[in-house]
Amino acid sequence: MAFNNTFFTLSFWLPLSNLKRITALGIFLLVWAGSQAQDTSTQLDHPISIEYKQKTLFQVWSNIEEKYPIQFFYKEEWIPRSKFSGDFSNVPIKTILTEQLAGTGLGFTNWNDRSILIARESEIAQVKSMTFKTLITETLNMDETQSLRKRAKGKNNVIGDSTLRPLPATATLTGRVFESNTDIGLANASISFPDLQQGGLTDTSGTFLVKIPTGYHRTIVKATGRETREFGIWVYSDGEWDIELNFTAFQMEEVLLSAEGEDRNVSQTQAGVVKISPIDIRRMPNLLGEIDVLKSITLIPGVSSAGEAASGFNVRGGNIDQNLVMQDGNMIFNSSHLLGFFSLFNPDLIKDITLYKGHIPAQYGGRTSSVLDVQLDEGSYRKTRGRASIGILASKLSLGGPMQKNKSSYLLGIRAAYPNVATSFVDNHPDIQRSAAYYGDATLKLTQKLGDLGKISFTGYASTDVFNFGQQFGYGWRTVMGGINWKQIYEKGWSSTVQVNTSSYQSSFFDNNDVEAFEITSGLSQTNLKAYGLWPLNSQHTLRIGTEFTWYDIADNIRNPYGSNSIVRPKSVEKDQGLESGIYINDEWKINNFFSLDMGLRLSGFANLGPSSIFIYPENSPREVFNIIDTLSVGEFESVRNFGGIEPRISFKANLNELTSVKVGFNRIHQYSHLLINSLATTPVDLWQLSNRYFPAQVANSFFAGVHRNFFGNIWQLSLEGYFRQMKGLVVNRDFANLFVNDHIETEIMDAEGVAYGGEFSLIYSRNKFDVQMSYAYSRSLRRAIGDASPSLVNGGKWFPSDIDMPHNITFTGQWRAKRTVTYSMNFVYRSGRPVTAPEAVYGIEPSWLVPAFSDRNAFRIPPFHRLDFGATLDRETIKRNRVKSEFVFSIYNFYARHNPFSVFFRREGGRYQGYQLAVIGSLLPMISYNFRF
Amino acid sequence: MIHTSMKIKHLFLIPGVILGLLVHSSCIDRIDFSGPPAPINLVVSGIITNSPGQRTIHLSYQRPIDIFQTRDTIPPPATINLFEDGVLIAPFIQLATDEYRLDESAVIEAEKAYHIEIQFVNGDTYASRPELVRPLHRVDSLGLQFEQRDIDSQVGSTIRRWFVDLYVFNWIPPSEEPYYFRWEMDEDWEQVELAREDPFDIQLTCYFHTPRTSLPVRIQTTKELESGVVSKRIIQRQPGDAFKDRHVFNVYQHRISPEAYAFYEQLDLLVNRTGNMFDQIPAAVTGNVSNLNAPDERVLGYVEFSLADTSRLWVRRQMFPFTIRLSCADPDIASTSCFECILNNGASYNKPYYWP
Repeated sequence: MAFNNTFFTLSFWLPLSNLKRITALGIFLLVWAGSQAQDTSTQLDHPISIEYKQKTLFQVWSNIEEKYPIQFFYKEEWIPRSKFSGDFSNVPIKTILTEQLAGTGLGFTNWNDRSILIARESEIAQVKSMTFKTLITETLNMDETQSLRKRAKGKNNVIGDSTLRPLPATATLTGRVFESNTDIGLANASISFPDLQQGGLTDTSGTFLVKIPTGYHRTIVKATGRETREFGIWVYSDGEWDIELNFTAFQMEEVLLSAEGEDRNVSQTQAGVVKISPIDIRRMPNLLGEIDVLKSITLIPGVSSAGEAASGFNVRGGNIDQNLVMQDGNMIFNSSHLLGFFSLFNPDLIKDITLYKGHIPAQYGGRTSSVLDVQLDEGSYRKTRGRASIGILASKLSLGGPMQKNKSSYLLGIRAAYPNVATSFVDNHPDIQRSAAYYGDATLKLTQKLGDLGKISFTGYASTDVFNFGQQFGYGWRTVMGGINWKQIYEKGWSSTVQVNTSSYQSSFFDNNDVEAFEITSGLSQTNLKAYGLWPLNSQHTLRIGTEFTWYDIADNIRNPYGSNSIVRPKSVEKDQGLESGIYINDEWKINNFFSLDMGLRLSGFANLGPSSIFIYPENSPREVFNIIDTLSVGEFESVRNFGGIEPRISFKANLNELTSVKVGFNRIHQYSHLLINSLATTPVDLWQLSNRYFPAQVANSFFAGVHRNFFGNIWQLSLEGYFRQMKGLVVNRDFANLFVNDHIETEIMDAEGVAYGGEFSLIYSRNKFDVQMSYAYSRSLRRAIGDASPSLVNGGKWFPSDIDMPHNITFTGQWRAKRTVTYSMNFVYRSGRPVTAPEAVYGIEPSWLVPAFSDRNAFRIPPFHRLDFGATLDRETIKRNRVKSEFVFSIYNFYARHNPFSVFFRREGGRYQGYQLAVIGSLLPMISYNFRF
Repeated sequence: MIHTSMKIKHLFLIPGVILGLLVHSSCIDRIDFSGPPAPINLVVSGIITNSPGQRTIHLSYQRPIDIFQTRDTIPPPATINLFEDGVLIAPFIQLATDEYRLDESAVIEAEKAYHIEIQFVNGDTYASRPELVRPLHRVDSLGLQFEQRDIDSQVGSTIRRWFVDLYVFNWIPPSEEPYYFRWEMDEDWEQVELAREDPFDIQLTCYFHTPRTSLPVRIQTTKELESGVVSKRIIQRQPGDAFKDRHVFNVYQHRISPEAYAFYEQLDLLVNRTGNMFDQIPAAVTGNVSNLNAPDERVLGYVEFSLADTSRLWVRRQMFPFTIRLSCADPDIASTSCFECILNNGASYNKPYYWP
């Protein structure tokens, strides 16, 4: 076994050499042993017992290696392939070898007390006289550095330079845990050293860094959905160690939407941090043939959305714009395609998703509610692989592979949805026939290794969306992002990362209304520079220090005539720009086995910079156009207004025992932007507004606490979390706010504050063929308009439920792996109806109008939302070991065809108004998708 | 080949079924939607122009949304007076329990500010905000446009039909001050009765009149438009028997204040909601009337002061580039009302005063 695996590894690294079939393990043992006092007679005289029938010498020697502390070294081409039989009991090994090698021209000799070298009889003496280094560099034609890079396939591995004398007391291991089939790095794989009672987890790219004493250690490597492997490693000095894990068909360890580590909910210091693997996402029932990241996110307690086809998501009572959404560090301003039916993220390219809904570490800033950090995978460094999906309404293709083998890779993903092609065949619906709805996006990631411990990568993304309803109105939006990430690991485990990202979002809207037809464009861009270092000071402290600068440039809000008939006057409204900066320090402090602390401090600042024209309103007077008394002009890069503050971030964990922990924490975060929405749900043309003289900086103080308790060996995982968030610096729209192309947009909003509070209960069962998660969240989100200068505060300045105040949320997700090849899944979601402003009466006015008298803002609530989905996956991969591996995914969305209301509206019917509800999806949606990879 | 093509055809059925579900998946359902009892608010409404039919104020209370009522609940009698630039110039006379008409002597003039005051017997006094009346702006012209459009048929499919659109054109000079318009419209047409097979039958001509209406809300501002000829579609008609003989569109163009425009714009937004994600967030419309004794009281409605121009467009079906399907043209299929047109709603043998 050891021979074959090692052969594979060496062949991979040195494919052109014919001299490589010497066990890598053996080489290092050789060196190690060579440094020891040698007793040549003992080894070959060692009596062993072995019986074998019709086995090759490789197999026989492998069996000997497994049973006895002996290692064999040889060149593969020297060894005959014929099979032998034998039965020896307490026979010296030299007797057995003499019999086996008789007539082959091969001889053997001991190298030290554990190693036996097999070579041509004529070369025995020469080889034996070589030093380890000579053997490596001359006889085996191997570079020593290469020889130190071992891929772990065997049971024993050697790390570091064994020629070092004296050996260091400790060594830093870096490496990558990846899936053997795909080369995909496995996030949150655990590498543990039971003898040392020490271990670590891989990061999102599958890389790890541990500092352990030199010497021999038993190592256990685990990852969700992969086999658990056990190794013995010899560690001499700092080195790299890549570990392959095979996919397990049953994925026994997999859990739904939970942290990967079996006890991660208990053991991780941070409260309210959820990690989602791509496998979790792929198992979700899909809509329109596409797996959706954001829809999966909304199954997490505390996360919700305004409804089907609503863009974005809300976390713990926060607005959509209060979520920092990133893909490989690139900031995303609109995470939806096709008005929310699809998400911007290509699930085939995702390595790891982390949602910070409670504790937000100090390295993140600028958004007060949550952070959704999506990390893309890297292309394989070994071979080209691909994945494709063909659907009725959407298709996608992804390819990844080496550009320079083992040094650089690429990953490319392309997606397109084309429902308009399908709907164009729909008879009797001219408006639908003439409508257009499609999107396309492309993602490219290039990665270059810089030596053993460095890596630089580029991630680019571009997408375009079009949604036109007939010729009447339409939306278009596009996102372009690009970023470079350079990560370097240094001795003693220090690492540094430098990122430069830029992203741009542009949107347009047209309304084809004859002479008044117009088109409005808006957008924004940001360029971000991040640099941080990570220092594992000792086994207790891991320090992260960094800085971040982000330049925001809101594009001018422009209106132009649309079509030849239009006489709309072109207009452009100048928008803001500004620089956000942050410097932070964060320490993960493992106080002892019972207590740990994740504490950080971020100094945050923002400068709104000119050029800008600012209207001046009198003090203590309403901001109304007719009250403007002056206009202030600010020159280029002159300061309009500065904001800033100190942001403590702390999360404390106390382990009551191995299965129970209590966590508490506090965050303060500043946000210097607002998304201005004046429709029932987010639309692509909603305006981003930076903090300035009239738009305050948002500040959120969040308190959270949780109790996590696992039962029966982590089979049952119970989590209870509570939170309270106080939000200052919010704005709310005035009634009938006119936000677009408005020179004095500050007259359309008023200052506000908010609170959000709630509790979340989650219970997970994960055992054998079943994974079940049920959760309940009680969540309130309230707002209040403030300010004496406003003539009519919204709802008279009283607290009112925000648009996303949905108190009761229940989710139930389950998976049943009925067979090796078949997995069934289901979701059930229930949430309270969201608040709406609705008519409470009607009245007639001249001339003959019947007018609905609307209530205070959000005084009503639409009916609750609930939905049941089923899915089944037939995994052909586990049946056929074909080159092209495929799976069928069957799903039924909205199984009982509930008409979940998206909104409520009223129509006049004679002398009264009748209420109606609009359901975006009002029937069950069966879908089949065929996915394959190669 | 036949088998192959049939198989392919069957394959296409699968996505077809799915697509069908998708296309028809969104749906609109009636619901009974009610909230807490609404407070009782006074409604004050009126359009005060120099036109004889538009000089009234209506007082009422709002009523529950889901109860069918043809009449509003009426508040107690009140005294209403008109003020010009802050000076009382004329009273309103109560015509009905809810209707008060401006004294005929009062004349609304441009460049003057008007408001009303309402006094109830209990001492509550309500007043509208003074509104500056803009000079009259005459309609430049009216025009028709003919276009084929698809409409839903009764059996669920769509059919293509001709439509007649009425446009109003205005010449807008370069000006710092934008124009704000609101339009109302009514129609009159004549119809000569079908002849019976009766030697004593006397064929008469009926005159039909539709009530003056502004539904849907027809407003326009030139605030964001270039100067020049500005057009606005006032109404869209699917031509029928009303165009059998002579037909006239009467368009009333009110030049209104920016405040009135803002009120009607909000009104338009509220009465034309579809519930989709693009609908603007609704709110209570704030009128221009308030309780002087209790400024926080919500008073509904609006009192508009404006000057209006009337313009007419005469139409004969021979002008149309298509043939109208007239049910009253063929005696074999014509209904009784085609022979006695007075049986139709809005019909009269009295010729309008302006009829040639």
